[in-house]
Amino acid sequence: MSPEMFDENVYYRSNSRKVSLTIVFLVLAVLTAFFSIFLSKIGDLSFEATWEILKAHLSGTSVDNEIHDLVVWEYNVPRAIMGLFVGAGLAVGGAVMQALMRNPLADPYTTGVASGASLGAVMFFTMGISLLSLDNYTLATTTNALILSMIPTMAIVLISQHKHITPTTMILAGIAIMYVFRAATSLMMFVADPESVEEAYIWSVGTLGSASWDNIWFVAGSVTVISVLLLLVSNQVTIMTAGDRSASTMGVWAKPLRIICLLLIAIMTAIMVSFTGTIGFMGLVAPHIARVFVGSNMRYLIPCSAALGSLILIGADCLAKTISMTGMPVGVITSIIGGPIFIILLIKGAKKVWF
Amino acid sequence: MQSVTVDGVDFAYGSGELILKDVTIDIRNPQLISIIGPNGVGKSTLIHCMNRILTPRKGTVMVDDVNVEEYKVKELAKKMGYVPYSANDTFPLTVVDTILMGRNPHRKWKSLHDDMQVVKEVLEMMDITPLAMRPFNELSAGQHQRVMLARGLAQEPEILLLDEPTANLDIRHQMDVIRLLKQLSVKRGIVVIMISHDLNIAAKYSDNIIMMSEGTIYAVGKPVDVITPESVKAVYGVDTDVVLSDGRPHMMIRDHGFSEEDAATPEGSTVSGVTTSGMNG
Amino acid sequence: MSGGEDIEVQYTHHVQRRLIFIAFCTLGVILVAGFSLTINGRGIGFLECYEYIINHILGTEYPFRSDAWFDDYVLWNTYVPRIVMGILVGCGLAVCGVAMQSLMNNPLADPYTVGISDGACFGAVAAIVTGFSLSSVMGSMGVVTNAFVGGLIPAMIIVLLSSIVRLSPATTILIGVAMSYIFSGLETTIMMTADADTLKEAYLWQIGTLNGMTWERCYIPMILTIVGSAFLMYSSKNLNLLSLGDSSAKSLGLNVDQFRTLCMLIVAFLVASLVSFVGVIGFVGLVAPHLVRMLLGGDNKFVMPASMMLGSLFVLFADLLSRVLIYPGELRVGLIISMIGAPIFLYMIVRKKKGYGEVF
Repeated sequence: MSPEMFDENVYYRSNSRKVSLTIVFLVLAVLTAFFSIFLSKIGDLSFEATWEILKAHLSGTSVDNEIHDLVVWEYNVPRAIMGLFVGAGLAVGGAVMQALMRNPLADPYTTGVASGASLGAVMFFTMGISLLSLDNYTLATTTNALILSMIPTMAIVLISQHKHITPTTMILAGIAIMYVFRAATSLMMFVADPESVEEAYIWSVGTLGSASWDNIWFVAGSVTVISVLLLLVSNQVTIMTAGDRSASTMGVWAKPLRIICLLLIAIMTAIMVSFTGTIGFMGLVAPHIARVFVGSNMRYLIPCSAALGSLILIGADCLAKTISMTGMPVGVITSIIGGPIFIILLIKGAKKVWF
Repeated sequence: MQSVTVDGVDFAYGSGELILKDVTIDIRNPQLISIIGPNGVGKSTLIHCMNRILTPRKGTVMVDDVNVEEYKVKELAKKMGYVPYSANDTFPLTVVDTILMGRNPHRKWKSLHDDMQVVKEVLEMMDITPLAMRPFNELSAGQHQRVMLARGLAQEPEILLLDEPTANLDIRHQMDVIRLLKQLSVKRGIVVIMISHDLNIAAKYSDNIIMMSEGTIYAVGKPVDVITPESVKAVYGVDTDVVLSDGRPHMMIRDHGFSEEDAATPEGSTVSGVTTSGMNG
Repeated sequence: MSGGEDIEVQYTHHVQRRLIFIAFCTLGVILVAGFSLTINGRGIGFLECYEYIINHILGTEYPFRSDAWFDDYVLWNTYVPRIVMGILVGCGLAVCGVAMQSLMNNPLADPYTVGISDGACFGAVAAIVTGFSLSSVMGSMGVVTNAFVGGLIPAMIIVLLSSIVRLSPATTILIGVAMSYIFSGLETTIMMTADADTLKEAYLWQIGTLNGMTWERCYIPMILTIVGSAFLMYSSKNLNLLSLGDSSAKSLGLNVDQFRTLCMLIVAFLVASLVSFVGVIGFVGLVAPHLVRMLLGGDNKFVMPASMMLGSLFVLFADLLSRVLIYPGELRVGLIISMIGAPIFLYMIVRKKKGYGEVF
């Protein structure tokens, strides 16, 4: 017997360090979100004025300047909240998807959610088809997107009932379905008049601008509930990364768990995409950055990805607001700024953590 | 008492050729059992059928006299541990986290502290305490193997299946691991079933040996009865001498080394005096 | 050694099967090309088309402005370039797909993995929306040059990076993905500033089409495709080595890093030239190699020519459909390819047997 036993406190300490890091990111995210409320390009809306409006709303008194009130309370505040939740949701979806598929390139859109949503929206913009025959413009687009975004995932779930389906073939199936949906989208764009094309295109670009008190509840609710559910099975998902066979010998039945998680992620992503359009790259990158800090144990990776995702998306949105109030969509910022940062991270050898 | 009963099992991938043909074995009582046989005779397939990774085309597998198909996945995992030949490390964890995976079937809502005690113990057993906080992908093949073993042990199963547990280990660690497995079977009353390619180690420590040939069981029994020059010749096609040491068979390959004469014969025509085509058949 | 001949016979059969497959695909390409040529608005028949082409190649002169002269003129200058480009696109994308999948050691890789398509789109969109062109040529050639240069940028950055630090295939893919995102982000930024008509034009540019091909547009892709695929075919053995993993390939005497960089450059030039003339045609580069591997196994020596032929057949067939479906108008070939290719691919995935494990 060797004299030294493993000191379990080392393990506990490393875990507490992961938790505290996550809390730090979370606090930073909330602070940034708060800061983003004050970023408005309305000329005479000063810092103090914004503060007054916030205070007034929190204490229940009325506000004098209605336009300012509208900008701060009806626009900036929901937008900040939306950013927090969408960032978290995409990052959690990405982290779990990567583990489920055992593939570092997977993201929440891997099962074709975004392509389905685009098709739904384009269907309404170019041909005026509303699947639930709604007249309300926003509602029709959103419901169309929501319904169609679930179809690719459903197809993959059906396909994966087949015996030989591995995670890789599921990804390939996702790509195939995505191509069909994109082709259908393009076909509609092809025959549509330019104005509808423009509308549809702008809809598909990821932005937080459409956030309002009416719709953030769906996003916040679904992200919270589904992230918690995923966190509850995080240990099982971690074991699944050891391979389906090994997982089954350790008491985790991989196939049904994978399908359940896929569906949960699809629902969450579908709701987010329907309200914000496709915000790319977040779901892929945030988990990888989180891995650098907390490793690949899903129990710590899920919360840390969520916090980092919120932080990154809100940060990008602050930047988008600074560059231009309405023109610059946040999805573009995450891609243009996030891309180089990700490449630097990869080259710097942080890759050791995930390969 | 635990038992694994394989009864008339046929197995094939899809509609392909049969890999296991009417295999029947009955394993009872704590012991160390080695499964031996040439490459590709279905040793791993047999083990995979035992722990339900694969489903036989025909026949049944019973664990503790209950059909494996009827177990809940967690219940089976509590009964039966499995140490695979190689491990996936797409998203590597630390060694402690990897071993903690093995505790999954026993996980209660709040049991990390108890689980840690088991982890500490198996780290010690496998002589990998200093590696505890290292990422899995930075370890050597031998260290990987010991981590996987530790994970299997942390599962505290009543039956432990191992696929070539000593393949990547140096001789000291081979000895340690085999002695440990033997000890587990004696002290903790575990049935240990391992696939081995080292006939001498298998013979030295196993209570029983299963010798497989082309998808069937060629011989089962005490090492002395199974490992004989005749059976080795028949199954592996290699000429050997078997001597007894401490009542256990020890096999020596009957080959004179490489002589001038061999250098003169055409390349690849013989392997220890047996034609290669014979080996393939 | 009784087994020896058996193995030899088996191997011969094995090779023959592959050659027969390639021959069938080639025959298919010729037939579909013929059918496609019959949609020519002048009523030239199936066999006549072949006749005109052979005669043209043999240098037959027709009396000026006679019927035959017009037939020959229209066929040769309007419809044949389209077919030729279709074949080039099919061959080029398929061979690059095979090469990338081997180079990256990843079944999900395709010719666009390192971001070529997004770079090219960015270049093209910049030309269409802002009128900015690198070549000071306005109009459609300006778009082409921009797309070509844009398509090369991501690949060049990766090549440059790989000369500074050692990049594993997995890292390369991730960098490629990041590159795609960066360029599509830039592209979106430009698109947002465009008015509706320009936006639609720019959007549609991205969907591949073979419409309006001329011989002048075929030359550059033709040279690059021939040179590139010849080199890649010649290197098929080295690509096979890469599938064993980098260290094994090195020990078998391959300068892995240099080889990978060289191949990547060739793929980049080839694909950028194709994309800049026809737009993005997806799926061929991903699917043709997979289909071939499912049918013929993983040896690149056969996978390459077979994928090239299958890819061409696929593109020509899709092009034929795109013209027949809403005749006299036409759809875009990129759309048709996704529409018919994806279901076929799905079907193959679902019913694949064991033994395709060499890819997955």
